[in-house]
Amino acid sequence: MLKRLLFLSLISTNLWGVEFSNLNMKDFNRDIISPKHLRFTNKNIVIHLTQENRSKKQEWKNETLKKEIEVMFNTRKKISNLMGFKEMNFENYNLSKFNNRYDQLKIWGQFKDPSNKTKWFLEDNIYFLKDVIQVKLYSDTEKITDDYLTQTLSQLKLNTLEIQ
Amino acid sequence: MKIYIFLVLVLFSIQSHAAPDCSNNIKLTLDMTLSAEHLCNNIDDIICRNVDRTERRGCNEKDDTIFKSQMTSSELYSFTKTCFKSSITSIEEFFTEFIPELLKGMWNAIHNTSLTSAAEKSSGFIESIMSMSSDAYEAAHVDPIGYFQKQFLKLTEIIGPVIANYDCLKPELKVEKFCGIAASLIIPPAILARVLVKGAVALKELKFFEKFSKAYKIQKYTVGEYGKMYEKLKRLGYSPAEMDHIYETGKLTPEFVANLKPLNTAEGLAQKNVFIDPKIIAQKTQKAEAEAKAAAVLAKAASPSPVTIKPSSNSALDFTSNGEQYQIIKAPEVKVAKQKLVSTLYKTNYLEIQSTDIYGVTTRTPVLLESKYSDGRLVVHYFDKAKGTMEGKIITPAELKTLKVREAPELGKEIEKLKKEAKIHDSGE
Repeated sequence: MLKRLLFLSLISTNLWGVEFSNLNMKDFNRDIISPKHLRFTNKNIVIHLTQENRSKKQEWKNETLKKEIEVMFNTRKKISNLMGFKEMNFENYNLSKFNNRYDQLKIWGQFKDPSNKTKWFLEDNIYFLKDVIQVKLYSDTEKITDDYLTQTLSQLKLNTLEIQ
Repeated sequence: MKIYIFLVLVLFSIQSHAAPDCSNNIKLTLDMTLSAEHLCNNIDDIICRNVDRTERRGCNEKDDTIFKSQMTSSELYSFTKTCFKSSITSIEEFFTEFIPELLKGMWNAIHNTSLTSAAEKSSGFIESIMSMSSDAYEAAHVDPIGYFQKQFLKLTEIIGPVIANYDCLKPELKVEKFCGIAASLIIPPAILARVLVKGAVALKELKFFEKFSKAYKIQKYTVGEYGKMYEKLKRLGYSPAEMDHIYETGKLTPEFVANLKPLNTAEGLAQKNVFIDPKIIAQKTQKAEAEAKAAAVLAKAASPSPVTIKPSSNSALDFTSNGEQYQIIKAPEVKVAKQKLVSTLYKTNYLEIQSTDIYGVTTRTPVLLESKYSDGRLVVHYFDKAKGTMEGKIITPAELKTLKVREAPELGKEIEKLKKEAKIHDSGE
């Protein structure tokens, strides 16, 4: 019986991979803000990694993407303003596939934080079946490239994540 | 979890030695002479009606509250800031629960959707909440004092009325609730979000009055005198931007205005060209138009379905003021339009509005006089029995005169003073 349980638990570990809160990055400090919200920092970059449940009805479509992004941007701009952030701007966005399977929406932009410092960000939303994972990278000095994001995702090994 | 256990223990301990609370339902009648206790009971039934009676402070604890009637706004700010700061350094819930809930509430207030429907209907809802929560964390993490000083000064001004509302709590509960994890319980994020979104619009409306108030202090002219000067300039043909310029350059005095000629005369135009640079006026006009446009966009987005007071109605609660419409903030706990609410809360005057409906039935509604604009308009809150909610409205000086004041000797003088002030403002309009 014990052997059987052990066997089952080994199988389940292999199937589901690592837990979200165990994700790590080399050469980065890690803060666990909550089991579903991690923060990684090094000298130049801050990365927030968050996980939330998603509704199946939330889907981006290429035909309506421009309009929907505009609506989202306008709302975010208003709220950000009330929260003390100014000059929120989306510079670019892109809808693609992660691992050739899951929808992935990237947004590049910038804003001024409450201390009036300009922050560049690259936000990557990856839509798994029931969860959305957001990787948000911040820089105080320059725009964040797509290559840097690719490296980050590769380091994070999101494909091994225990996620549905 | 600890906090809930603590609250339960506090509640139990209170049961045994609770002070008499203000929860008895004393019906006021016209022939009744109001004692201080009656007044307290009745006012508390209005102010504190949303606070559970087991948690409500007693009349005799009124002076033992955190927010005193004489507290200045900076004292209130400093207290609230400390509470928020203690929350931010000690609890992850602030960022992982309170801030996301606050952002969701703001999203819903802007889209005028309910919390449950928003996620499915709005594009980018959940992504935006995640994204902006991270932004808030970063800002507070990098510069906590700066973030709270800059951001929460604004929040405190707006949520002041909400906080004051919770001054109804028993002192023991209040201290715990304000300064602990329960900051999020005491000001539910969804309510705070509505206050923030709608409050931003309300604050814009208040700017005009602040300007008047400022002018009153610096120049030592009464609002009425300013009113007369602006009226004269308008009759002479000056635009709002030009009038603004005259004021800002310190020329606005009764003597200066008295010597001006109409702009449709050569003499008037020559006068104007001496003290007004057309380039400055063009810039001012452009700026004012841009601001008005931006404010309109924000107002439209933030208040998709404002409740307005309709002109000409059968009830005295509806009123007309030169065709001007006023927005009512409907949320029961939220009283946004205010200037000095906290400092006047317990100096509250007790008035009632008498109204007669189409069937000739007269009803009297008790109202709480909560603040006074510099032009004499008043903000009152009253309990709408039909809706079962607290409502807010603005009353003009002219309308104040129609208020029927219940016999309350201790308040009579104050009300007479208000009426006199209203008369002064009237003469200047």
